[in-house]
Amino acid sequence: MSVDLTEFFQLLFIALRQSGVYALVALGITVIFGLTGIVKFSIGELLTIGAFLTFAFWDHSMSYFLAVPAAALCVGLLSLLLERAAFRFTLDQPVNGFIVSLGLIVVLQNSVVEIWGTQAKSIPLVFTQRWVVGGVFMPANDWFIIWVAVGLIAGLFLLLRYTKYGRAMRACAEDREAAALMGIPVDYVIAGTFMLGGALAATAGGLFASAQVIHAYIGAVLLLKGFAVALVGGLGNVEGAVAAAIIIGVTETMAAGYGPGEWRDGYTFGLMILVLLIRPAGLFSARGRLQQTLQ
Amino acid sequence: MTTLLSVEGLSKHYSGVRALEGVDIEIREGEVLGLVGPNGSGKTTLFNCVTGFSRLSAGRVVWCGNDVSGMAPDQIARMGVVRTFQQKMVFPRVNVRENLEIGWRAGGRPDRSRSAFAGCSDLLHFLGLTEMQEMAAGDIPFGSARKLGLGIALAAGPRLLLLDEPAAGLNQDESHELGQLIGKMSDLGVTICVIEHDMPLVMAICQRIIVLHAGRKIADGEPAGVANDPDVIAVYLGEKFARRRSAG
Amino acid sequence: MTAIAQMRRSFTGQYPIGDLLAIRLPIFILLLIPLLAPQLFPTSRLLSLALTVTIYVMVANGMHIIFSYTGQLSLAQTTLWGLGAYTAALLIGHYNPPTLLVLPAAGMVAAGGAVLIGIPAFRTGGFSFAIITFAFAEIARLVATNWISLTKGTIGLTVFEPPKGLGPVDFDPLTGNLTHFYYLSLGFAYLSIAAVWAIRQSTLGRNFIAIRENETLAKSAGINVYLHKLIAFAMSGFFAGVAGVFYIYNAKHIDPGPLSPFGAFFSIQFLLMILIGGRFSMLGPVIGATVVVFGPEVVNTIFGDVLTISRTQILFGCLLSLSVLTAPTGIAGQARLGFTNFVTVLRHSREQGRSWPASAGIAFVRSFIPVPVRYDVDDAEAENR
Repeated sequence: MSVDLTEFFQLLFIALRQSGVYALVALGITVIFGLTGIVKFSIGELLTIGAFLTFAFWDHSMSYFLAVPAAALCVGLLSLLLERAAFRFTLDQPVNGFIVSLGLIVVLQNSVVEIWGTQAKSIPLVFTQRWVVGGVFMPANDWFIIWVAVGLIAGLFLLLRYTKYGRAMRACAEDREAAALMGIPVDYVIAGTFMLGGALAATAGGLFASAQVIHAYIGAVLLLKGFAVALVGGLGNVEGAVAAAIIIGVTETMAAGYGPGEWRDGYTFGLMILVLLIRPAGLFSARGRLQQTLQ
Repeated sequence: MTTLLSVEGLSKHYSGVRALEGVDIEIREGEVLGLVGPNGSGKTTLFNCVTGFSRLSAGRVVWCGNDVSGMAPDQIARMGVVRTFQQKMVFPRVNVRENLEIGWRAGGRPDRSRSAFAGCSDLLHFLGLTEMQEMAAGDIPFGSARKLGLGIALAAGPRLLLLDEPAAGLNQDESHELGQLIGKMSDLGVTICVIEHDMPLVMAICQRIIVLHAGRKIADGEPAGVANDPDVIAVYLGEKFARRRSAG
Repeated sequence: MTAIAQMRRSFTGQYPIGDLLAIRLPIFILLLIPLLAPQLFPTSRLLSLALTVTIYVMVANGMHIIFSYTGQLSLAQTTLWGLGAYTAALLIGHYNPPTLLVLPAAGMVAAGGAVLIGIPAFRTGGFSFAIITFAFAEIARLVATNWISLTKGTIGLTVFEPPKGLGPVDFDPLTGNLTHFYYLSLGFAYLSIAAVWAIRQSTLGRNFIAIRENETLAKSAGINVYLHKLIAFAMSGFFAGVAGVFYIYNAKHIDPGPLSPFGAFFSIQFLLMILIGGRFSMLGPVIGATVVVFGPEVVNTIFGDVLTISRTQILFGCLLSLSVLTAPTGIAGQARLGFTNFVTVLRHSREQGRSWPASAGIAFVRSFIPVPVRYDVDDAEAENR
């Protein structure tokens, strides 16, 4: 195997790990938007809180494998609380929901600063083994992130496709009033979806914490990455988000690997702007109401 | 009578749906033309295509001898083709007077319809909205909002006014009043094309009627003639009724 | 709402002079108070806060044009501000031209930046616009960080020259002449208020509002929506750019750190000012900027330094969310409503022969208690001024 090919596969592997984290954030964004039409900008901060809670639980000598689900649960409940306290009043005016979420960004970000300070924190690698396959370094920790992401995505698909809750969610996304008339408890479904979205973001944060250094301001960039993925995939389109996560993860890693690395985030944002200009509804066809909302 | 606007072989396809298929229409200067047809027959789509809100799939729109197909809505409006909308008729959080001023300033060169008015006060008086001029347009009664919608279009100085169901949601009296208003607007020299479901109103105000069905033009002529056209009766009342009527 | 509008009409119709004296004159006098700031504020710390208000007012007035008037939520406002500051820093650092040349240059560069962002961003609408501007803000930060030969990267640019070429007065904010510099900045803040007023009265401003209210109808009335949005964004960029010059003369330094004014998150602060002050009022940004800058100071004076920077931010974030949910017209809107209620109750109780000052006072105060509105912004009070 030539050197170039090794480098290529190495980058591809890193891209896959990044895609996993991005996909989880994007799915949180996309299910909430698909259901309510609210662009929940504060999800990046939920991710930060998820990462910090994971760190805090781990710091109190809890196992990392328990800390992540515990953090996800806590953030899910927080997200539920926020929905009950604020977002449910904005269901008829999604623009207000957006502005509320901007306010929450400030609140959550500074709460993190207030509680944990501005210093960077890190969790030592959970899995320290690393394999070398054909010259490509594959840390076990990265495989762990990839497999958790894949598992969660598969779980989400099963949830949306085959459970009663998933069917109710899709019905509400199509037509909230009709769903309510059919006896679906729309309020509960929406609240549940906010919880789900928050938990997904927090899991992404927990995974991120095991791989990279975390600080109070990681939310902004990861939020934009998540949004880039959700928008490129078509807001509200779950399958599209997964595909877009891989596209963006690969584009970004490859461009940064072969081109100047300091522009890493610029490639993603550039790609997002480009896609929004050419196909405002995303690369993959989003469903009816979403297109209307976007245009 | 000179032709003001002509639509030639206009087709509009949305992913698979043929909303309009080879429609030819001529609108002559000074007339009041009625555009009728069942729901989904493509009337509003026709307006959208003429005014630049939708792209045409085929055909062209000619205004005063110039091809205007593919132009932006605001360009077409400034050339003198102004339309109204079924919903979202006004600027809700702006007061009534300023609603008219927006149209007045934004429109094209002062044309005959506008030169009939000295200013917005005159126009307010014409519409009968002087009483409400300080109120927010979102707060005035529905019927008045309809009139205000007409007023905004009129303020923009149209030579051709396209009205999209101006009487929808109005009661009998309001509808009658609206008919008179449209008559007065026609007297100012504005050519009017109106989509309307209220047949008595259409019969009362229109000099000519065009019937659309499933994206095609099926009748074009005097109101009385169109009302007795077997195709039109078939569309509106069903095939069976049309056969019985032609037999009897 | 209808009833209130009628009441107001009848009131203003009957007492035009009273309306003028009761509303316009007090507002005008309030606007003159900042002229006395150097005399009122004993410490230079308070005066420098007042200076911050004047700079914020310029940026917020710019955002008022694009957000409140045209209805487009731009999250790149502080980026344009930073762009103006960078331009000024580079110009002063390399050539040190007279301030009267730096101001329009920085304004034009920021306006140009706004046009460059706007050309692609206005092809989409609604949320997409906000997200694209946010992305552009991050891209601008990347550029400022990585174009080291021009911007010195994360170190940033530092400028020590005072404003020059403005006559014999010394405007250097460092050498104890903060008062002079404050008046200079205040003058431009007044100019920006006057400009917003002039725009609101003009056909251009009316077209902006038409776009906010009903884009489709605006198009069909003959307004070129895309062009008008670009113009509005360029104007708001110009305001921000001019404010950037005052920022750099005052702060002496600009860098692209995540917490510097250059970051996209800082735009949320200006959104907050407008929403708290009142997006349907001409003076909303002024009220908002004053509250945002002096609010924490007042709280800290009364309760003894309880508000750290992050706690202040948490409070502001909550305020932003709350004001959207409960008082969409902001302080100015509530005050206007309060005044209308005051007058209505006053007249009513005078007719009934009851003790009118008490009930009118209660009505006035009650108007300020926020009530949750479920379907809010569209029901908001019409903009009549």
